[in-house]
Amino acid sequence: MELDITSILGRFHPVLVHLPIGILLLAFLFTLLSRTKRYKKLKPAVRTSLFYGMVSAVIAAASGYYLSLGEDYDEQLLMQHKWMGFATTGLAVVTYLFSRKSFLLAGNDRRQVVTVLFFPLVIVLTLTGHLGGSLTYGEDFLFESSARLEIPDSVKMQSRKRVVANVEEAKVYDDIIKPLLEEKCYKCHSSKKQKGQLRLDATDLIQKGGKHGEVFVAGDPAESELFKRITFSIEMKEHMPPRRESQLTDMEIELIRWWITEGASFDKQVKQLPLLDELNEYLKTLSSPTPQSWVPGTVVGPPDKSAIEELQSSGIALVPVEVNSNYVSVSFAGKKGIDESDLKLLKLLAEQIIELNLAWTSVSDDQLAVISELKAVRRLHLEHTEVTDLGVTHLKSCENLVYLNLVDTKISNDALATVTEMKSLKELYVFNTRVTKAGLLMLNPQIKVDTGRYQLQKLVTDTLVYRAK
Amino acid sequence: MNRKDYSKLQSFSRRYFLKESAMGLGSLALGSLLGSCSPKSGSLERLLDPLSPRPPHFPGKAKSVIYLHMAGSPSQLELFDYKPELAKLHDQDCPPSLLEGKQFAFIRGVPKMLGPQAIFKQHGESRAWISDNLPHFSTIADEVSFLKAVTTDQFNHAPAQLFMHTGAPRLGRPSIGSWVTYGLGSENANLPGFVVLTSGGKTPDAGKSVWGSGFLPSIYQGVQCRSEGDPVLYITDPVGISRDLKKKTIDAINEVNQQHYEEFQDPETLTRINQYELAYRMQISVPEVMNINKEPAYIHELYGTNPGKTSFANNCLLARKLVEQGVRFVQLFDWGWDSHGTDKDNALDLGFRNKCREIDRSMTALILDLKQRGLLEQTLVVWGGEFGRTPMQENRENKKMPFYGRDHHVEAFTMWMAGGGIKKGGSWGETDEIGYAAVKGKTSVHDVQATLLNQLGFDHEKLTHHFQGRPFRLTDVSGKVISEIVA
Repeated sequence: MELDITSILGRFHPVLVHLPIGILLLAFLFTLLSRTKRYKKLKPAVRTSLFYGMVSAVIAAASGYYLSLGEDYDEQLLMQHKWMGFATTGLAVVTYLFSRKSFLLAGNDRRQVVTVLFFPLVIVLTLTGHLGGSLTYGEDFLFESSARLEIPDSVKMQSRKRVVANVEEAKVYDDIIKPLLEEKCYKCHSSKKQKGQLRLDATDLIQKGGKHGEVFVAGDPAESELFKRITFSIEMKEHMPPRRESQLTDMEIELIRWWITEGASFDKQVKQLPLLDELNEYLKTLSSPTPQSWVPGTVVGPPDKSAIEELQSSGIALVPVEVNSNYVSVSFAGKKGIDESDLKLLKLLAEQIIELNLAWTSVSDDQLAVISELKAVRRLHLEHTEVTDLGVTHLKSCENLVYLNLVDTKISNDALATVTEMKSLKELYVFNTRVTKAGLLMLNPQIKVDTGRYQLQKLVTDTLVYRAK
Repeated sequence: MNRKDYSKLQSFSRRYFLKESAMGLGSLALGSLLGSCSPKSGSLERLLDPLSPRPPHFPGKAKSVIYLHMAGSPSQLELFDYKPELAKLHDQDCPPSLLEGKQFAFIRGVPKMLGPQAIFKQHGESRAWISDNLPHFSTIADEVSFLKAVTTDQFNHAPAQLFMHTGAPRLGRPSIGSWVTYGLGSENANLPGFVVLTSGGKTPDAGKSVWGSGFLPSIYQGVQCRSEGDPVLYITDPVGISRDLKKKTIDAINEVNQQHYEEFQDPETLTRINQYELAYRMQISVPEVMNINKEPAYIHELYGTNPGKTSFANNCLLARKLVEQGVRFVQLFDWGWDSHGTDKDNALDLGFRNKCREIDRSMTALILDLKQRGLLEQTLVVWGGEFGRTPMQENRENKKMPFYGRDHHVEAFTMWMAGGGIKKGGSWGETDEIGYAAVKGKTSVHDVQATLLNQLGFDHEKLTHHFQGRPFRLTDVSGKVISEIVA
């Protein structure tokens, strides 16, 4: 793109506008002050400051005009700002002329006129400035700022990781394309702003297109304005999203190409359309978000604060599984004994505890009866404890248990009879127990068992020392 | 002259002006100086209880990290990055295109190309190429994910090690383990959250700064434990001092320190109080966890341990024991991997092979042992050096070396990760046909660090500490989670 002097001047508009605002307001202040006895000596300053304010207003207006030619702004807002700007400049010129000696009127009358003229000037100036701000930062910047600028972390996290539960069943537009447009395009092309008179936040509006007409030709990405724009070189003015905004990734561009090529449908499912392997791989990554699935999606009430504090003060590691979560993880690491009082407190947190680590403690079979009341537990560590088959029978009611670690305990095959009934259980560790291969045969096949006792072969090279010949 | 007039006049005196401005400006300056070192109000609570467990940004898959660092940097071309083309070019002059505008630590003039000094085979269902230098590790190829195109920008050991462990090649930044304990705290109140074990021999070139806490309070620095003698220096009570007396002594010292803190508000005083208390608790718990004698014979056989000695194998077993007790970050340093070919100990066909034999069995055992204990999925194991090695044979001072060796190389090297929510049998990144530069899936040191933090549940851009007027983070201003190896 060629850069001529006028477009460079245009780019300086956001800087230059501050000069007339500052200087003219200062001139206004001088005018008011110079009417008081104390600041009478400021009188000559009025005309000088007004002169420079006027000159800077002319330059700012000119640069603003050139900027308006080049960049894509909301047209209605731009019109208002432009004419207000010209009005400010005009008023500044007129006010300045009246401040000059021997212009139309004599002495004191002239000064009165200048003071009176200043009021509309300041009002118009303020309005122009506000409109300019709305153009640059968005119309909702001033009053909705707090809501818009401080998105809570949890929300950001969700919006960043688009989750598609099942890729095959997912709707191409609703589940894949729309969230993408929402993230990368809605900022300027939705109910908030309509740059180029284009809105992408509703299917009929997408089909309607913008001021240059329709944005896509179903089946032909190369002829689709929307696709052309996102694939233009980033240096070009027509490139979308604009250079300073967050860009589409290569895979996201490929997704849009695929969607348009396959007819830009708004209701088809992924499985109804042919899909390249590469895209399929990518879509699968959308379906397995980083946060672990063992944290339940359902919301739970906040845990009992005093119970938490009491447990923590007795040296038990108790933390939310993530910032702002009510689900907690409890670990007795470093604690040998488990007091009855600790168990009582744990019961108060029965809904919230989803992970419990009792490994290397003195937890007894009887105490496990209490533990079994913690219905929400997903992951339970009991390794290196005195737990026996009897203790495990108590766990029957832990219907959400996904992970159970019984390494180095006193359990035998009898415990497996209980374990196999645990509906959600996926991982079981029984290394260093009396569990036998035969016992494992009766286990529900969906449970992945690790019996351990891995060995490494003895190799000649294990002891071979290479020496120089 | 009454008092009011006097004070009015004072404001016109030169002496008063100088005195006041010196005090005024001086205290302003002092305030900003102190302000830059003291914590922001929010983190004071953290300092009062610096190792209390804290929630991550999102539910992490890993709870602990075992980081195996091979100081000196092993050759990827003799271990994981199989380059048959390089074998064909063996002993030919290096083409100028690979030398122009490049800087090497020792290579001068035109070096010869050096073919792989190992026999490669594909292993496991993932068909990973692993050389015959790692016969045991080959059997668990499907447990790990390889990063084959890691790059760095430091070609000397100390800065490269600092870069790898603190995110910056200069001194002063906190190490990964410090960041992790700062973010997550310690699960076990009786053990340090961050333990360092070295295999004996040399300590890393970058010194203890690679496990230092930088500008974070020093309670977060790595605690070096030894497998010979006292696990931590001076941990046993001196002869004639009972544990009760020790407790009383520490209480008295802490009381004085507490008064000192109330007077001067220096956060390092709080650190000191916490360290005394932790040290007291550690007197019981550390010797217990650091004792490998009670481990059964088959475990010793699995790891190839040698109780009472300092060795990488012992450290691997210790790492498992520490993680089992809730230690957050275990950092192992092995040494002697700087295979320049200047003598037999760092020759690729002699000393290097001996080094491989020393780690092969024990690091494989570590992964299998974590697996059978149900801990692998919550423990991230990371292996790597600080940079890679050149496809060219080293020719320092433009002379042929007596043995086969390679120079330091920044443009591509291999690291691997296992457990902790990392893909099983994965591989990401490719190098060109002679293993000189990354051609696909290029990753940086900051990417590796970002991935490590991601597995623990941290957004690496949000784990920050305010220091000298701005927030700092491990990955500085870059780093991207390598999602290709995340399960």
